[in-house]
Amino acid sequence: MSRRIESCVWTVAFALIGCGQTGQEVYPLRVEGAGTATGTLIVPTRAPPDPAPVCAPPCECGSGDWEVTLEQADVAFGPLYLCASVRAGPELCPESIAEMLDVGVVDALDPAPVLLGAGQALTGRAQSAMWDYGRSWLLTQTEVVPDPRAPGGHSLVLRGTATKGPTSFRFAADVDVDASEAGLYGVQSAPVTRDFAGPYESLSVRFDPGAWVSGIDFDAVACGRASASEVDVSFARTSIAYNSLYIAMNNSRLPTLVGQSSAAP
Amino acid sequence: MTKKRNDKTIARAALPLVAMSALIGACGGDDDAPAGSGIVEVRLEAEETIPDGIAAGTGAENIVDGWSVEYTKYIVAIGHVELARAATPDPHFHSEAEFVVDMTSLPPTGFQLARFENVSAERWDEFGYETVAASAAATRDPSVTQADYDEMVAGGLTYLIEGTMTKSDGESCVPGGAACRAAISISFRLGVPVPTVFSDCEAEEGAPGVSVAANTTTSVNATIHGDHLFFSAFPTGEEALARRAQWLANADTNGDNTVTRAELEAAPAAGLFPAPDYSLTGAPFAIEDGWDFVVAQLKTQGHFQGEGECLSDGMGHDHAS
Repeated sequence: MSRRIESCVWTVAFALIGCGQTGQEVYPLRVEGAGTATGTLIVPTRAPPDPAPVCAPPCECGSGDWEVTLEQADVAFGPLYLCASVRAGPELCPESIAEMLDVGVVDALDPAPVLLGAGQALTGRAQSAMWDYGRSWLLTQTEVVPDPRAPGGHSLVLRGTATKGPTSFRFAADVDVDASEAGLYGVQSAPVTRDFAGPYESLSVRFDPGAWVSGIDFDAVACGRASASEVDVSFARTSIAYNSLYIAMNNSRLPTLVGQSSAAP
Repeated sequence: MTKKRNDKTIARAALPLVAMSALIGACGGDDDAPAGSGIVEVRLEAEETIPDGIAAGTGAENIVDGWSVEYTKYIVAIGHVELARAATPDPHFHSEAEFVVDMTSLPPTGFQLARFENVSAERWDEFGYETVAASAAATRDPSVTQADYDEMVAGGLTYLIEGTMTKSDGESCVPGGAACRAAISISFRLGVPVPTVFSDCEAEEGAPGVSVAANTTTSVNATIHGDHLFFSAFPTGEEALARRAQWLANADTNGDNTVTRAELEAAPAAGLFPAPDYSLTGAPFAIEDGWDFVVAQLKTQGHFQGEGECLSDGMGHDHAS
């Protein structure tokens, strides 16, 4: 439908749909986002290395798992492109079958759907998707540019508390899921199965921040504090905890995309 | 030309004559060659990174973080060559033959995987092959020891890759661990079950399949690359791609200078593959640990005619080099 470089020319892209896809109808696409009520998460303690190091403060040396409560999980999402090809990516999917050029923000702790944006879809089957989390790097740009709607300019703003035994600390992560170079996407290719038949199309993107957090080694986070009295931990970009969230968002714990065609909006 | 038939019987009967591999894998040919037909020979080709290793350096083909890699074994189980036309699915040519071959010691002309005779002179636009889970049905090439073959079959392995990476000032830094330790040489021996169908292969210039000329033998290569283990990402196109090996050194969690599957399985991806040096987006499946990364990268190693691309289990894959 349109390449990323064309994303700034919405009307031209719309015209391309009609010209380049003879016989295919163009339908309006409504994209909603919804979160997941996580409650108190149980994040298992990782098996210690062998031989186990001597445990001492600020590490939490007790047995048992971590109880994690998320207080904020704001996610920016979009633009989104769905592809007919089994795998996405700018070269494997030069023309999308559906797209939303908007960027929306979701409270990923709230299951109630909110409108992320509007787009359009062609008739046909999408088998893959690529998208940004509110931070895009167009071919015409020299670096990643956050969308004004992205919270604080970030893909994810996460706040929570982790507790195990007598140890409790608040944690904060401002995660930027960026493309590795101009023209690419934060998420390069994700499997999707979605048939677009019109006349009204919807797509729901469900985020699960609990799944993103579940991969964090909170024992390591606790040990990484300057002292046992440090109760506010910010995940540095170079930290494993930050990278755990980053990988969860762009590879291992992708949001699910589901939707349906309907007769009425 | 006849329709496809299962030639596993042929392959087994030919086992004692495996060196005469021209007899193996032929399938689909008629007794009476039609006018305007040719022969297609399919050979296994190893990218030069397999026999020659991968040097440290700053070039596009080098490992950029200072490690050099040499393989002592790069054994693959491979076969099931397919040649067809999209517009006319039948008849087509297919070989059920499977081989277990060490690609560090392939003959310069390659290793013959299949030979199809009486192939009508036209473009056969669908070419593919499989890297398989080794079974007793596979023919052991003399380049593979009986012990390694038995290990491959017992484990249903697709690859058995053994090598050493070296760096004069190398270190192993276990993620989240204590200080880095000096490690100038790290060995690995990875038996990996990763059966994969490589289909719809296209040469680098973009022509799909094989063009067959009359009264001519056309040779094409199923090429296995040897550097994907050290890719820093899962490319979907011509994006820039670095080769990095530090992650494998860091997976040596017990400090014995040898990396095992168990260590890789126990090493979370978040520690081994820090962004932005590594990017896991676009991987064929979720990468939870170092072993997942190995399996996912090996799923993309099948190529055609050198740098030509094939779909990997139906999924597109492309990279610049």
